[in-house]
Amino acid sequence: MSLSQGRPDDPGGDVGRAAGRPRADGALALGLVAALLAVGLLAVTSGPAEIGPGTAVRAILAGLGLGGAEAVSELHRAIVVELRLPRVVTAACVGAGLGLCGAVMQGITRNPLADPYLLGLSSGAAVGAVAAILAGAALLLPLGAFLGALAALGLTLGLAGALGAITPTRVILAGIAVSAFASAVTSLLIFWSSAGDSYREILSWLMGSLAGAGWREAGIAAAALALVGGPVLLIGRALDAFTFGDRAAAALGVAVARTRWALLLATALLTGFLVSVSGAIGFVGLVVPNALRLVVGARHRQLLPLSALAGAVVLIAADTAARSLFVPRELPVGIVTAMIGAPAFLAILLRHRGAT
Amino acid sequence: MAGLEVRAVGVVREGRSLLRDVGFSVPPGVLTALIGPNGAGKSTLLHRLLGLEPGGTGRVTLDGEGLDAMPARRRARLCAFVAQSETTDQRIAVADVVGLGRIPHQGLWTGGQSPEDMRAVAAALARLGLGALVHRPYDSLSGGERQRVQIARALAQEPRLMLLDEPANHLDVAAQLALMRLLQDLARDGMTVLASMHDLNLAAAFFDHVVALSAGRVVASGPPDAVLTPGVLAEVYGVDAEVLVSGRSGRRVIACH
Amino acid sequence: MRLAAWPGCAVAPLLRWGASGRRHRADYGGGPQVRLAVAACLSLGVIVPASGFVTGPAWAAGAGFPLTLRNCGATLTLEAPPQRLVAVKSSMVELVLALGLGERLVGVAFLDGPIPTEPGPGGGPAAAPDLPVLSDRVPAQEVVLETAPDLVLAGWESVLTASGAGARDSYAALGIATYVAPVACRSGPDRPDRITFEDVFAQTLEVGRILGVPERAERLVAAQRAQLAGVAAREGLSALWYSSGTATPFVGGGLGGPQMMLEALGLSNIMADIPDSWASVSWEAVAVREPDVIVLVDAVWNPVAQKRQLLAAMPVTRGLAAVAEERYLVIDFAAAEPGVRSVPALLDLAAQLEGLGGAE
Repeated sequence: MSLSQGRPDDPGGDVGRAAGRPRADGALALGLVAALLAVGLLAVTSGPAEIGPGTAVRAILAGLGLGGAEAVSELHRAIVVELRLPRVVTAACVGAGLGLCGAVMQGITRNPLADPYLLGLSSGAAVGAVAAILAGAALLLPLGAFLGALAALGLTLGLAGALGAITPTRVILAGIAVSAFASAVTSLLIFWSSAGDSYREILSWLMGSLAGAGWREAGIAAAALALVGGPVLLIGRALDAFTFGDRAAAALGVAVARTRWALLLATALLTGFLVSVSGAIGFVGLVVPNALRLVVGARHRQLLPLSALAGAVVLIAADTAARSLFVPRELPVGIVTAMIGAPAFLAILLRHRGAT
Repeated sequence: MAGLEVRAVGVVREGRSLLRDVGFSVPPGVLTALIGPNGAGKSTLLHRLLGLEPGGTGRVTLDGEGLDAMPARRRARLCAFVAQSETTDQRIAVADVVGLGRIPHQGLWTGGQSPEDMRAVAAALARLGLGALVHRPYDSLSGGERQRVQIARALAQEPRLMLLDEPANHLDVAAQLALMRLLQDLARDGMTVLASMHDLNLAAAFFDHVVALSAGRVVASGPPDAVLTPGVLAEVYGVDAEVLVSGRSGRRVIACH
Repeated sequence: MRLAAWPGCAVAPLLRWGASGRRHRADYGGGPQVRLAVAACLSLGVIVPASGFVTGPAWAAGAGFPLTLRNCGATLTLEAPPQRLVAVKSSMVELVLALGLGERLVGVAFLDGPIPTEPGPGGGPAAAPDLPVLSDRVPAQEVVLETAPDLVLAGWESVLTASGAGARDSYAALGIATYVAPVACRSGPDRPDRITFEDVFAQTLEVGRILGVPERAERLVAAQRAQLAGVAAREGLSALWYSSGTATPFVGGGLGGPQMMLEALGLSNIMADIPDSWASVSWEAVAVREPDVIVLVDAVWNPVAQKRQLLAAMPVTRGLAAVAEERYLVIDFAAAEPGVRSVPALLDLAAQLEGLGGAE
């Protein structure tokens, strides 16, 4: 039985229209899943090499050891199974993680401008990644980025704590300070040590790039999403309780401080893994939850999983565009997300203002 | 014993004692008002009863069970709180606000609203007459409507104890009367209801029991006749009060000079 | 490292660097006393300080000077061949050395690698091993100014910007001429569409003119032209010019140095459709276009060994014939920059190509 059935639509409430309608939510979820599959198929069949859906499927089957290897050339098999497919999987997991983390951060801080990188995570990761690139240890890049992200998180929390009791506002401010510092260190490293055209690799990482994402990166992203993102998704439902503030949440039986800390740390951890794999891809964590909020409202029980799904769709689409728009050249995906994300965000802001 | 029992409750915050040795009982079915001037500690007391004040001492029991030691979620299933004014910057619809009341009943692993949840929310919406507002965004409602939504949310928690902090503040006269009748209904149905009241006339007219608080201490506790007297009011509020009786209904009216 | 050949340059601090600034005026026509002093200084190898007097080894007084030419969006005016040169980037340093004017270098910076010490191409004098290195990277303007140059030669246009060694305007205001290598000119109407060996030779000739040694430049160019003509182009093979990058390879495009070299070798550049000198592409594109030969650029931050390892490890590339049979040509990063080293580098590549054996 739907809560809102039996009542004609109130002309005044366009947000309310979707509220309390499980069927509408279900339809949206189904639509996003379909979009995910569609865009995934598109991604696997897009690229400089002409590979149609049939060939792609056969290549995947061959890769899974299900025979049919003779029907597909080794080159095509390698392209589909070793290059495109892991990249799509990585994009899906990273996009889902970013969407989820963005929604959670916005919920914790009760601020629609929050994004997964709020706590200085991406800047810290950048220091680690750039150091790895400049030291010539590109293989250790994910590790360096992850450690950098954690170090930045520690600094942020430490700084916020030094200012007094740790409140969301203080954490945000500390995060901004740590981001600025880490960015300065990164710039110094680049300026000091980069030689010749090594800056290109660095620049590409800083903008966020899924190039070179193989099965190792896909594995890291998928594992992080499942092991860290799963709990975040479940705990994040408690964010609804915070709608009217901390006291109201406590009165509803939610352990306010513990929940907030658990979400903050888990989100930071997940973001750290994601950034280590793909660099700081911007706008997905910021725009996707805000867009969905226009449709779903602030119901985190629905918003979190839908943000994850939508994030995956968006990032796969953006990465495919980055790979395919200027063949044979390749753009870092962060450029595409920024170019779409900024006007999209503007549109969302205008929509918000118009509706109220 | 049934109902709310408060014994030697105190709250100290930053070295200041906000409540001292507060004790009273609220039986179920007895609509109780908490009165006192600003700063007397009414809100603090309500928060303390809910376990929201970290520096609290004393013992609070509901139907014989200690509330302080209880896990927060269980406590939230037994006690519901309606604050003075609840605002949010989220765009949330009325039905979903009321749905928040089911959170104490939902585990981490349950997905969505169960039939139980939906029944409770629907009942709460109906009881508060919120049918027409169900889709409306919360922030588009008037103060009085918001108050009703919050009470509906509290009802959706299906509690045994309802605590309200100055619930009549934002309401017009008609809405105030409607609220008072609702609270009386709830009490009559067996719920333990304690509301801090600003308006002495409402307290006099609708409540069965009054607890007067001043400077963190209970000054008087008893039926309105006994507590809302010029003597007690002078001590609590420092005003010269005159108690009049309406010729038509026998209702007490308090005029302050 | 100071110029070992000029001990008398301890006198250098006497050079006045005052408000009057440096002038390129050729006050060669001074009195007999001056000429005597000049001759004396020459024999002692001392540079005579004077308000505007400059002396140096043999040049024809006034021949071809004063000269004015357009250089990458600016106008360059020289009254006399400049004697104190600051060269930034290996391409410019090597060009000056190849023209036998190493002793005029008062400062070099931002070298791409060690300067070759064997006799210069085209038969110029052997390169001086000790060069006054101002900086590993782009030097600050003051560091350059301290050497009291009269011409700054920049191998990259970005060197002569405010955040680099100083904008060209600021040098001009101080009376110092600046020159940007034409093949590296990226902005303005003087930007070349494609780089060819003719552009490289033209650059050599132009620099020879500017430095007052046009005949040496002509000899150098003639020799290099002959060498170039002797390269047997190997038809029918395609190639990739792999400069750097691991996740995203940075490769040579259709305009610019790599294209120039590949064309001269008779190889068709698989990325020639890219309208740029270099570009970031995808490994998929590389694999699909199946280059027969891969040119690996050896750079300190991305050495050949690393490139070979990567190509052999990646599933998409290890199946390529070029990778499986290691059909690689190796070139030094410094040599990849179009300049006076291009022809010797090309000869080396041609020899490597020959050594690879039969074509597919």
